[in-house]
Amino acid sequence: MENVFLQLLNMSISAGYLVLAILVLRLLLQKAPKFIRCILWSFVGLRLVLPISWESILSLIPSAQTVPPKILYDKEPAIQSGIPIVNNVINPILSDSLAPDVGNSVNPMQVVIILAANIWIAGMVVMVLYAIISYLRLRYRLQEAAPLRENIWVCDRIDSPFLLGIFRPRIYLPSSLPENDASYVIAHERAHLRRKDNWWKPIGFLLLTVYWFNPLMWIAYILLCRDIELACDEKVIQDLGESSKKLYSEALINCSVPRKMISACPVAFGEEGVKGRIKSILNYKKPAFWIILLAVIVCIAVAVCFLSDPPSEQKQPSYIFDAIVLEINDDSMLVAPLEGETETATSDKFRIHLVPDDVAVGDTVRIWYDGMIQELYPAILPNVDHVAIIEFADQLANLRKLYPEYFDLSTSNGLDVYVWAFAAGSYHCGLVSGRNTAYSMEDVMDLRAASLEDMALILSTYDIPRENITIVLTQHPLSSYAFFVDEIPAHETYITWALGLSDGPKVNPPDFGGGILITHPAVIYSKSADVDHDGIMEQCTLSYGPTSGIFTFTMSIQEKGELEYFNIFYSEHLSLGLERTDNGQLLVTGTTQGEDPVHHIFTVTIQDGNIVLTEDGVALPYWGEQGVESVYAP
Amino acid sequence: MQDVQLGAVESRFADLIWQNAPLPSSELVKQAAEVLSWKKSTTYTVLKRLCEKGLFENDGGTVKVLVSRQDFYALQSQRFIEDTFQGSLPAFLAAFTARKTLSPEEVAQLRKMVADYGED
Repeated sequence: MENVFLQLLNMSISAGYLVLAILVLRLLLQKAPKFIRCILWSFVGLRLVLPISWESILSLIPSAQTVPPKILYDKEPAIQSGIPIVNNVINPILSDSLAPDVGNSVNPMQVVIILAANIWIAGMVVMVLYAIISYLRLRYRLQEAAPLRENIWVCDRIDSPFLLGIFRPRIYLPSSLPENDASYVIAHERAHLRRKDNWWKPIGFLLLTVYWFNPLMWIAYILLCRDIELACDEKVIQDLGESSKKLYSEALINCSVPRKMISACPVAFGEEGVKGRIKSILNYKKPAFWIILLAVIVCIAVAVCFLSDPPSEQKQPSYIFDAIVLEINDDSMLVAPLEGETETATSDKFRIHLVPDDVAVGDTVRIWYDGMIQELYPAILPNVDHVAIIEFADQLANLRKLYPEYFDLSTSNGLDVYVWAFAAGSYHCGLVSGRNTAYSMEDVMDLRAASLEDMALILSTYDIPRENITIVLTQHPLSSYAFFVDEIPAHETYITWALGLSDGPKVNPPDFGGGILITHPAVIYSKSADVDHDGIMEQCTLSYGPTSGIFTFTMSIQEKGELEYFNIFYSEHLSLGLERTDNGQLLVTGTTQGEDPVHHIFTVTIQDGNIVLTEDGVALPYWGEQGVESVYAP
Repeated sequence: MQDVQLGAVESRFADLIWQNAPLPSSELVKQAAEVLSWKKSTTYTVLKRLCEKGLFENDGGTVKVLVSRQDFYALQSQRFIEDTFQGSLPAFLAAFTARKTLSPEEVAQLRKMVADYGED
């Protein structure tokens, strides 16, 4: 119910802009035929009836959705009026006073809007009751009416002539109407009939019943009624000719004067607008062709500028997650988000009212939605844009476990795929959010290698345009294979195809021309850290030592491509690894082999130009020649 | 009785009675339906009203005349009586009404405007 109310609110705001424009235009269109004004009011009616409209850059409506539905759930409720000044005044007030409190289960904005919606319905009921009661009272009075001729009736109990009835319209004349005036009154009411005003006014009133909360709509309705009368006057004069003006005007005046004789005949035919109407009648001239043309052009312009909606802002980024289908009903299905999806923090079950064809229980589906979650149990997603069944669901689940860091990355700046080759024909890649600067070597080395096929699947979980995915061929420092410059296009073509980013036919991987670049001992692990606290990140590499017989390993620390520290350690045989803590401390981990493995953790520090590995205050012993000048150093 | 005014339609109805009285009320109903397209209830309502005004009498189903047509119109006064059912027309019928009647000066002004029209 609140959503319906919000939608109507937005529609009435859009229509309000149109009404303001019409108010201005009426000043300019005074010389134009009056029925043009009625056409303009019909545009207002259209605006109020059509929930959406076509989008056009020519639209002068600031915003078609001033109060977005998500305001009910947003952590920061805000309106989008399309007018920056208004936004800047209102939105801070909303955030301060009506933002939802995480602790509370009651969302103040929701409370306010539900209250408003209830008031709206109450107002509608009042309007409808007024209309029904007035109509019944009128019918009661009219039961004493007697037919005169054709569809014209006479009644003692009415003060003024009017047209009543949608399907069998009748003209009712008060019995006190003077003879001479009768023919003009009848001509006027007949003009109403020809213009179908007995339909338009009730329709207008019906719209007013719904949109009663918008004061501009009352202005529009009041002016519509006046313009209808003016248009009818014009029609009568048009038909009866110039010579009828005087007598018609006199009829109008007569009906404005309370007679002392039988009963008065004020209002309706002769009401407050009398002066304006008489002026309009006396001044009426058959409009020149160019005036009509101008009026038509104005109408078209108004239609284009105010019946269309402004182009919608860049679509809000969709929230996407994958889930398993638990249950399918006619109009909804129950799904459970996959492990690792952020939605699992809100609920383990979601109900969605979009059921794709051919979906079956147990399928994995991908769901695009606008971020709104109704926190019930099961949680409900009210605005789901799209649901697609996913193939390779199992593989993706595995990849999610294997490479969780490559899923759900921010795509606001695109995605970068770093690709390197570790061996001929063997590409590896890592995925990061796009940045304006290239990732440094150290950061690239931190990436865990995934195959192209795996990366293709991972990329398929992202909903961004292809041109926002950048492939970055990178020379991984630990790789022996180089991308030669003239071979790069061939590599890129193949990689683009292999990652599923091109539509073309199968592309074959190019030959690897690169040879071995660097000879170095086999690398066990590499990590970047600022070991010597000089503010610059170094690249630390663990490699096997030069000995056989006893277990040694080396640690090389390079800064900006230059070897800065080099030491050889010896210990019992360990399975080694490198870790970096959250505060940047580098650690060497070592696990003994065999039964009852023992885990060692050494902190890495630099002392007197040497790397020191310390566990529980005891430093690991060195072996052989130390330092960057060592014969063993790379 | 001096205060009684009959609208044109009511007069037509009264004429039916004056022309045919005394007559059974059912007959009156039939005639009213033919001439005025009135429902039975309407006929009885108006008849009752006219009886209360002292013009006619419904004596056990027969409608009788108390004041003749000539006498009635002779006793008519020229005093204006407000209609019992005052009230502006519902908004969905009429244009916005303010019931502002024109002052004599305004009327004179307007009449002059109309009279002068076309004489330039």
